[in-house]
Amino acid sequence: MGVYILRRLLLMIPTLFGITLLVFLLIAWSPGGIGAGLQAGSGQMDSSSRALKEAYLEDRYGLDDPAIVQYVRWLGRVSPFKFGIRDQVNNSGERVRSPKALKDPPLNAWFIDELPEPKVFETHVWAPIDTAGLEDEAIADAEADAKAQYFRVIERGYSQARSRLITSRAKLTEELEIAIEQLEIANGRNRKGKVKYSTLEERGPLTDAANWDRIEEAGETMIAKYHEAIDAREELKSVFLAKPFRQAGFGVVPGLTISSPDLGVSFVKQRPVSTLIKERLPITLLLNLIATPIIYFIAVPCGMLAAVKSGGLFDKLSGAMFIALWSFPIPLAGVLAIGYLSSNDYLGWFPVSGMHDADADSFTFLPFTGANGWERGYVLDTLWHVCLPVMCLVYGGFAVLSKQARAAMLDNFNMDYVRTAKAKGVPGRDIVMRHVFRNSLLPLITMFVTIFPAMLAGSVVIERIFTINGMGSLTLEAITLRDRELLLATTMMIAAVNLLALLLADILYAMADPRISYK
Amino acid sequence: MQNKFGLKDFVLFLLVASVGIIAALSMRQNDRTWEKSELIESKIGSVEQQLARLENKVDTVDEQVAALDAKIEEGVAVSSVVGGLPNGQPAASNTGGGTPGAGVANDLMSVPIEIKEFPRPKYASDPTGNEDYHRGGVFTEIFEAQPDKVTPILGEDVYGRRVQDLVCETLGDYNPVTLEFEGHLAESWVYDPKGYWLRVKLRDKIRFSDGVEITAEDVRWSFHDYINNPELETESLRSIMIQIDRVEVLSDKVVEFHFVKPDAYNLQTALGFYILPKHFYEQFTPKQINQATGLTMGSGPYKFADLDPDNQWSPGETVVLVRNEQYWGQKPAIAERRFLSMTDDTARLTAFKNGEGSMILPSSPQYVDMVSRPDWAEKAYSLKWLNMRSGYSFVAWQCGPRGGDGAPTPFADKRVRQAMTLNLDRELMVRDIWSGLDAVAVGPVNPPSPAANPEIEPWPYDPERAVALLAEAGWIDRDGDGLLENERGDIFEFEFTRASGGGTAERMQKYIVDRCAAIGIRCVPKIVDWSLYNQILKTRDFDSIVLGWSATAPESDPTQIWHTNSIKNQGHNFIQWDAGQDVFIDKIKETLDDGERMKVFHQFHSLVHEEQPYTFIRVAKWKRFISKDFANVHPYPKGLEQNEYYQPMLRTGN
Repeated sequence: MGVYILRRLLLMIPTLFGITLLVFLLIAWSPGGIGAGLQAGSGQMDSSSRALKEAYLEDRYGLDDPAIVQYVRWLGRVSPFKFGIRDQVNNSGERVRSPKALKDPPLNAWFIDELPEPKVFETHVWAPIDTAGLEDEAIADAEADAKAQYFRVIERGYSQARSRLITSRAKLTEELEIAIEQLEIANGRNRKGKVKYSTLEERGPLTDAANWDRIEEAGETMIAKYHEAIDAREELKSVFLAKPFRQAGFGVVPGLTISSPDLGVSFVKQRPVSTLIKERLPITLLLNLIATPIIYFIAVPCGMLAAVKSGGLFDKLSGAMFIALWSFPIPLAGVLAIGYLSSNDYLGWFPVSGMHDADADSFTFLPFTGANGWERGYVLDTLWHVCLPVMCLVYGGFAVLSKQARAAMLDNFNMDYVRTAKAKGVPGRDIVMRHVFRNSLLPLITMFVTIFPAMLAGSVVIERIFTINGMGSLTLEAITLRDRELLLATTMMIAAVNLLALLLADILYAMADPRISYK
Repeated sequence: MQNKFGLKDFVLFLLVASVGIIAALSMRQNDRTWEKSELIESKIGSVEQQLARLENKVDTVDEQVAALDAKIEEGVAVSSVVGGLPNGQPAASNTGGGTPGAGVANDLMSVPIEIKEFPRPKYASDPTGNEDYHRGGVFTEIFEAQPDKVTPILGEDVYGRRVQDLVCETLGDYNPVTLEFEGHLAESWVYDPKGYWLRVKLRDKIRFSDGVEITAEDVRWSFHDYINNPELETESLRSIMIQIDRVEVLSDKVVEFHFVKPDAYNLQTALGFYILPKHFYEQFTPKQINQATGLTMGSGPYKFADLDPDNQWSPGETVVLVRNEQYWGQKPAIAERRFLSMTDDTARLTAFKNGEGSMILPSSPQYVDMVSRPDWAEKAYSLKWLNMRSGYSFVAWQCGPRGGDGAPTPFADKRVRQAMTLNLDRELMVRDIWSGLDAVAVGPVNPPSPAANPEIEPWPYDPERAVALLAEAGWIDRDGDGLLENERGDIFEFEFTRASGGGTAERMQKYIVDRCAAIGIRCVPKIVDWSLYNQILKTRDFDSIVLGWSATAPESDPTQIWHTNSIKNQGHNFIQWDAGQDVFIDKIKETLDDGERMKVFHQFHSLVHEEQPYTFIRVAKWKRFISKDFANVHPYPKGLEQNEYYQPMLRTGN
């Protein structure tokens, strides 16, 4: 068994690769490509402003790299095994990386024979600080502060240099675009309408363009800025190598570290993906953890009763009702529930939307009777708010489960051991509860395991109607806006939980049924 | 197996029960400490308020003393003294724009420069004198979507901006009634007649919500070290502020802006960004600011009660702003402003009717439905009006070669474009598609903007004239198949591009296809995902496309959309329209005088009207329901001024 589980666990790694790669390629090949949502609806901007903004965003998210490079880089970040220079963690807990390599400026051969080499910086040596009259702990603190401050200065210098490089490159691109249009260069732009440097490189310097002077000037400026930027980068690197902060993760051998995965920053929300998931997942889980037991507690007994009196009135009535509920569209149910159950014009029993009252922060945790009379407290407030969403989640689920329970019970009723039990005079109640029911539970348990991953995914429709910030709407947004980081993270999470759940189901099968073994 | 309740079971039961009781007791205990801390907090709050009131009184006394002093020292100029300059002459320094500094300074000696001075802003409709005026109450707006973040400048969506606008302030602002650009934090300014520099004096006694005085250094810092800090994700604003070369601090209260080149819109750009407190934001690392969701502080009439980065507002919570008791200007009556988000139309309306919201933006059908109900007028103000933020939607015709290098479309001919407009009954469209609530658009700028030419009437609906114009342009049904052909025998067929998923766009498409068929034109709809729009516009790969421009100010720089420079470089003149408009646009950009500029704008408007590169369909009126619990509610050409509202005495009983 242990070997089997280990094998399954190891097999999950390539499967996860496969799933994420597939999803990634789907975004990359979709019209608009990765990060399409970043540029849509940018409003009225003149072309140079827009080009500049795009250049900044491309630099920040590495959007101008080939798709496969972007995928590999993402893999490197989520993988617990990190290669290369070890990350550090600064005093406020942020991860600090060694500055990434700068790309060669485009078409540099037009303006300079050979790209300049960066200045060489030895690994930085920290200057001693004045520690007179300080305690040991205070000395350590003061040293850490001084290092952090020095690093900040150099870091800021580098990001300013890089920003100037980006600006100068955008300027060159702008001039090139004008030349491409004037000279009507075929294939001068790629399918996204961006300048295609490879075509220009093949064609050689555009000396015949009317604005060649300006192109040359912009190109030379870019090379100069590039020079400054690589120098600044080298300096930053030399300071980084002097370890201004504590090292992240756990070093195995030089060049290989084990540290926690980094899910990156969402393009569209501009916040860390892990924070976003941490914010949303509990809400989705709460809703589903309330809804699922309700479904089970109603559907399973109803299924049982229907099986016991198979063909009877209850069987027919419950079957018809559950199927009717199952076919009722959720969006309509949600809107009707708000219109009739929440509106003060009608019943007004439930709140319209959200998970908490606006004042919930100042509520006590438990219900409370105080000077202002009875207050419902945080727990009851939350339960009251989730009533309608849970209702919408629940009502469609009865049909499948009750039918499943009924079928399993009926199967067992026809078994030989039931007949034997009846023959030896076991009371009917005991036959149902002790023999048939227990045996019929198995498929229901395994079914729950497969339902679990779906619970994490959340429900887009219900979240939208009741304005609940759950996983469903997050994933939907990631898809429509082609948010690389967010989409890959949610995909990976759901895929991993799915795979684990399937494994768990198999293990449960083996435990529940002695006839199954994975030797 | 027998079900006996044995000793072991009893012990187990006891254990479980005691754990449960302990948990419940500890929760109760926790709640009690919570209540105590709440009590303390509310006491501190009231003490703070009292302190603020005292401070205000001290300020008034100070002002009175100053006024007395001034009277005593009669003869000494107490004038605005822009910049506190020696001899009152602004000493301009080099502009960096290629003009020699000495030259500018010399010019100044001979040119009388107008100093623009503005009194402290007052409410357009001051409610304080009303009998039932009362301070307090909560005003709750319900948004249609959740803002992602409300941190200044980083939170870019329209909802985030609404919140930021209450907390942060700019140097200048539009007057809600006259729509003139006036000083807000700025008391006065001098603007280089040549447009290279602008010198601004801040008002005295303006404070951030923590009581720290706003200085010229905050202005410089906001521009150079916040907006232009490459480590902050402020690219969107940074890339449109490239016109400002630098900001210099001249004294504690005086800053000087230097522009790269003169431009009529430099003034609005320079005075239109948020002035942020340097002392507050400097405590944080760039990464903390980038990832902050609600680290918002400024000098506005409202503030966030809690600015602890570990306890800031985050999406999913209600945005709660409290009145800034130390506000330097006229204080609003409403004590608390809340912003909820509800994504569903029905939920919003229900919440409004339930009293959970004080203001919503109803959908057009909701507006029509509710207004027709007899008792609605008692419950809510139903507002519907055009203002400076009303955007317009249009169908754009490809006037140049499709795809930049393809064959010219039929719309290259002005007569064809006019015919397309004449062939559409836009009043009918507004009536049927937008429930008759909006207005027909007249051009690139629409009333109430002073930039709109008042003499221009929208083109009428006249299919006969359309057919005649098409015939004049060579489009006649030559073979009797019901479709128009040109001389070469090509039939008139074009592609109509629209975004998927919009009910309105679909109805527009159906109507346009029908109307085209009626006069013998084949219109082929092409439905694309919204995220593809940008690429289609950039590559000019369309015959006609439906789109809308939003507006944020009474007049916006026409260069981006209309200038022929924007044809190049994938700019926003995606229709590649070139009909001599540059003369007007360049002049608009050069003319610093508002009145003169409007005249040129009117000429430009006439040209666009005649040429019809777009068929202007409708201007969106703003529609709002506001609860009748509030008084002093007026729609303005600028929008709404909720700071003027108050909750009358009688209605605050509960």
